[in-house]
Amino acid sequence: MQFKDILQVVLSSCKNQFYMSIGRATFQFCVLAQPIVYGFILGMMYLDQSNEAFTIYVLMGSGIVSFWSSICFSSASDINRERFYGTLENIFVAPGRFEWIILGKVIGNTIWGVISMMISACFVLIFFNKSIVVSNIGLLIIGLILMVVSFVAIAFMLAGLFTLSRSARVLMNCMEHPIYILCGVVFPVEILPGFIQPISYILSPTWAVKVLRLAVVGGPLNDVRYYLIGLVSVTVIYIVISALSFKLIDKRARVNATLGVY
Amino acid sequence: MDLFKRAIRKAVVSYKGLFGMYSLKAYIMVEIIGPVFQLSFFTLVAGYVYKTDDLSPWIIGNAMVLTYMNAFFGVGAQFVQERFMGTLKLLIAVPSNSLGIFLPRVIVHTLDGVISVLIGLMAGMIFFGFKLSIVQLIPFLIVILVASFSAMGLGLLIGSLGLLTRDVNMLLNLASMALLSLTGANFEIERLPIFLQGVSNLLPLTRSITLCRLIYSGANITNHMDLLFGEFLIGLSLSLAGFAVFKTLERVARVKGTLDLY
Repeated sequence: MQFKDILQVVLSSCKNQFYMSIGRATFQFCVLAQPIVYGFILGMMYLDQSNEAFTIYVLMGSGIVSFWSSICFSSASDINRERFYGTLENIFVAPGRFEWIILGKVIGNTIWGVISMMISACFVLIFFNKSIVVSNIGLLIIGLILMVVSFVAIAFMLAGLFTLSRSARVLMNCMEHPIYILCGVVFPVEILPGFIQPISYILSPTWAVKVLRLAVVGGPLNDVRYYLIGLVSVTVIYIVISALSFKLIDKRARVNATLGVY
Repeated sequence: MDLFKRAIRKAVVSYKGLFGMYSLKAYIMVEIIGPVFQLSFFTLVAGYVYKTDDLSPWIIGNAMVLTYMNAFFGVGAQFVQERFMGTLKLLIAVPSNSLGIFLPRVIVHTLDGVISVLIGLMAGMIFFGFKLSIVQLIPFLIVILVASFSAMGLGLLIGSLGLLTRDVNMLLNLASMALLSLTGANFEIERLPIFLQGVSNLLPLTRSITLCRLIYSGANITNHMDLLFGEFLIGLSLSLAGFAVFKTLERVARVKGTLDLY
């Protein structure tokens, strides 16, 4: 397939997913209501804290929480949903390759994830009327872009892994809060017990949050470089794992012929 | 006696119907792992924000909130699930009183809700050093039982109202988030805007959370029976309202023949 064809497959799948996913009530809740609820709870908890803490943990934290939820309840479970509908085999044998169709779906969901982040930010800004602190706007923009790319990579990887494991339905309901905890989305990772912290650093949201935090409070250039390299490296690892898992799916689907079987 | 046996059988069958499709792993994930992580998440946030080692108020609050799983995704979803399966009209048409069909389900979920809270408190003991003396255990159990009943009342009302909608998930999720954010589980109710404080006072769990915290700090339950009765009355009112809505919809559906149309 040429690049132009791949792009067309990804865009078509993305557009289709963008309209389809918001039709589900659970996803509507994740994208439209949950950002407000989490922004509200975290805002109330952080009400007396400094403007820096409020910006990092409420404005950005609730946004990332919403973004992650939209990934959990969409990209991670889309394969399972296709399997339930009986359309997984059709997608698999379509002339546009399976992984590009899934990537399109992931991007479609990610757009909603970004929208949910914006809803959260708008709500927090309007409802709490607190001063927002950003010391390095350039780093903030770079951090946000890299975070979105990284979340696409995670979602793509999860879609592949859940095709293989078939535990999406259970896991997607249980993987929200562990990620919020492990990645230090609404409090610093450093308050977690020492033996847990290494796990945090294999998760890209941890690095993304560190970059965004530096954009708010400022910090030495070395730290910025370190966290950006960390975020990019982990994202690349996710992409490699995704590629390997989709190859494995292709092989298993042909050998075992159980792609559509629960 | 026969009536009692039948009620028990109906309760057990409905509970099996809800969780029977889960494997043991999935059941543990949904019933234990997910709720424990949710409690841990909010307790960690509280520990960081309020800079305290005594996390008991948030452990108690977030453990009580766990009843929402049974209230909304057990009791609240039952009518819609029956409708989805095409069995709602059969249940309405049977000679038994519909109260006799749906009440046992509420009872089993009330008891399961109590277990959920106890799991939350145990998680607090294991991970956050929460301690509960034997003397406090009995009053705690009484309050938890009433709280769980009260939450089921709201579940019953939401479930009945859910018959008016095509997809009840949004309603169920919003109700569960209302309990998480407006009952004082994570921050003082006094921080809420005045109109939301009024809503908080009408919600289940608000009084139970306050009462459990008072008992934990050494108060005698007999000195705060107003809170306990208030919680019970809220539960009873919501249950009656839920049943009234259901009977009204049932009557309208009989006339129009639209019970399972959505």
